[in-house]
Amino acid sequence: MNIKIEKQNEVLICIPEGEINIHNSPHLRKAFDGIIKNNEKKVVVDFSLVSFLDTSGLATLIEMLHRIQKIGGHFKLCRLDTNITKMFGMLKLDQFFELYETRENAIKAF
Amino acid sequence: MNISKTLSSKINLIPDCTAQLLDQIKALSFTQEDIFKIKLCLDEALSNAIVHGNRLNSQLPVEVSLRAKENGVEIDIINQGEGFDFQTLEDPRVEKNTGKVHGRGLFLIKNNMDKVDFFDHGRKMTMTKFFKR
Repeated sequence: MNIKIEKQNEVLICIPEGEINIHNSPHLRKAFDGIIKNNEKKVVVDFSLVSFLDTSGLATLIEMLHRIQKIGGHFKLCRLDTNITKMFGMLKLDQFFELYETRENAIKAF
Repeated sequence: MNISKTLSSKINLIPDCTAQLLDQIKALSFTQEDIFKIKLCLDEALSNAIVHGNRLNSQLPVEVSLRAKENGVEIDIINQGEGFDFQTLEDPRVEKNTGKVHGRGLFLIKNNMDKVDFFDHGRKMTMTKFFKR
């Protein structure tokens, strides 16, 4: 899985690409480790290039939300695929995470 | 169409196994949304069988079989573990559970497939998805 990292003003944008599953979610966790280590406090994950996410990927996102909240930061997700958005809704994770339709809206919300 | 596969309990084998089975399922009359749901459930069921069932013991096999039926598809996943209490399932949507890191796989399977049955103390799971009428 490729993961791009960009910065827009003070907001770090993490852009994973492809499928996030039990086999490759450790790569995403490793990218998040670096983000926490660098004390980034405004983080958006842009899902526009993610076609699939399973519960190990969800676990990685939930862990990251807890970790970033612990250092006083904020974590938002944007541009989720329709099927992935429905999965968040089914699990009521749409009330647990801050989800945005566009990257601009996610950034503006900090 | 009947397909059977046996894989050793290694998580790196899950994506390929899921993809190969999904290639067959895509030829059936499912909507794109249902194909996503079946893929998710296959992925979760294989992960559960390998991680929780066979406890990542690569010597233990997981058996998968897929049967295309007139009204949909049936998928069996069998592990060699100790089994589990499939009747007790915590609801991941309640407030005390939403922040928990794990405990969503079986809930997703039960809510994305049309029928889920367990046999042999939970070592065998049969999940069914029907075509939309």
